[in-house]
Amino acid sequence: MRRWPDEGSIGAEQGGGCSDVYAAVRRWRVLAGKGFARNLQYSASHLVNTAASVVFGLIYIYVWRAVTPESGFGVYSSSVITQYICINQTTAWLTQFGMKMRQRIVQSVRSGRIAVELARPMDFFWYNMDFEYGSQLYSLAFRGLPVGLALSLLVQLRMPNSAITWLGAVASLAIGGYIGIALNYLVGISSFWTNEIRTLSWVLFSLETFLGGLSMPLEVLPRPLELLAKVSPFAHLAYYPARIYLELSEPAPVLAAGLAWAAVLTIVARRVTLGARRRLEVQGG
Amino acid sequence: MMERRGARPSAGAPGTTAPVLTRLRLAARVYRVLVSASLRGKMQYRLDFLGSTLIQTVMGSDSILFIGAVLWRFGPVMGWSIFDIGMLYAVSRMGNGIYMLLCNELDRFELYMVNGDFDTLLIRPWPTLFTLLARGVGIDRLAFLAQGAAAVALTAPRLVSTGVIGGWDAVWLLASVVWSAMLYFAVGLAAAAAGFWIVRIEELQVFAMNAPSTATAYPLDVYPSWLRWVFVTLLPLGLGGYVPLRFILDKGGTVLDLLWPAFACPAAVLAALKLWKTGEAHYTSTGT
Repeated sequence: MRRWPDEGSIGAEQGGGCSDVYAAVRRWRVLAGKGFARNLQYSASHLVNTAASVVFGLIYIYVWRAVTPESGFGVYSSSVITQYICINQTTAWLTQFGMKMRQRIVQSVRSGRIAVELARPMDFFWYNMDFEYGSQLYSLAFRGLPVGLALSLLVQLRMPNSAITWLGAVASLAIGGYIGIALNYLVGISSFWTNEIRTLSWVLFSLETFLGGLSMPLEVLPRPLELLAKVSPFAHLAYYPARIYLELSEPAPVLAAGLAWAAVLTIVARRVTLGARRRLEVQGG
Repeated sequence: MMERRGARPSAGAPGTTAPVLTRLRLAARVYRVLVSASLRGKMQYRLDFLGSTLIQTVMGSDSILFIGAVLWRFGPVMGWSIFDIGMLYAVSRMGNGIYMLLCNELDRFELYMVNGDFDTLLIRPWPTLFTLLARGVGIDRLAFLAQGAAAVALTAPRLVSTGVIGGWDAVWLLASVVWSAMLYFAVGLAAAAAGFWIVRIEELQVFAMNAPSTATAYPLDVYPSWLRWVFVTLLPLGLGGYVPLRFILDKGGTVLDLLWPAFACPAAVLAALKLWKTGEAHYTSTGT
């Protein structure tokens, strides 16, 4: 069986008191690096997918150009809204698109391999989170950014001047990536109970798309739905990172809310993982 | 052991002299047997099936909800009202639904290539495409048809009462659904056939199917002319829905818009079948 590089040392360092943080960073670096490197195998296939993503971006940009009144609506002029779409088609590669974790967990549960994965000397949630985060960073770098570059030929994408805005947007995006992966993890781990997650995956995809503001600012929704969407974790996947980048939202309260959601989802995910461990029953040998 | 009904020499093996009608009848019987076996497998958990179909129908309506939210806020787009676009969405969705129902295995053809499962189709005494399609009916994809039917139910009464559609239009709308389904089949088959050369086709399917499917749920008038051209030629899903519907719904075009999909869609299917045959001849197993 292929061993993870440094896997022994990762486990060993976890019990080291003040070196816990160092061990966590090291674990993240190794696992995220693996997740990143694994994707390099599929560069040709990803090129096709990037082209598809550009087409999706074009669709939404042209639709918005056709429907937006000359005076715009609210703070959104036609130019701002197309920039909003361009940013989201780029950043969604970190927060929403291309995650394979759900299928990985389901396949492990079905094949019984999950017993080995749970026996690893590290937390199952953190293992999956780290690996997937690396994989999503690859997607952002090699799939999202090319999409953004291609779409920016059509859209006059403005670069913020303020360093605070850049920091706020990057932090918001990083939190959005974490929230997106945690939500996917919850759907994946539900396979311990259901063995079939296609329906839940549909539900998550629809909620992410519709309440996340991927293809439209949430202000377009009817007022009650808009308010609901803005306080949901889904808004941190697309709507808030784009708003901060476009200097339409103050970073501090958005980041605080995002961190709160990240903490809540972490607690829920780890509790559900404990329940899943207790429930697991592997047949065969 | 289950009888292999198609294994007899007259069952369509190369060089057979059985009359065409007899072979077709036999093919229909084999198809029925295989499909009912597939259905029995999928319907073991009926409540789960009904629940998941219902949830997928509601939750998978995000694209029409997006259109609805936008039109509710901004009014008609390029002269297309929410009811016009609802009907366009319905035709596209039902075409997609028919394709998903009958050709579900094409959608997951990558697995056959990656795992080497296509080998098992080659040893059957029937054309591989026939065996493939009969292996799995996408009964769990009924949500697409349900969404299309719901959109028709919501939009048709208004379009009829305002005189936008009437008389023979219902027939042309049904024909548009069939053309749309044929185009989905042609594009899906061509994308699957590409798997004989490149093996991994999931991303190609997203490019060739999902992107145009999303694009053609809106009136193509919103796109620049080059992109409109792409969606009726290279990625032609707009040919089955938008082209006939712009005439049916009085948004322009000529009566020829009703006729040329009738020629182009079967031609697209034939071209895709030819590609499949060519690809099949180039197939190299990845092993099992």
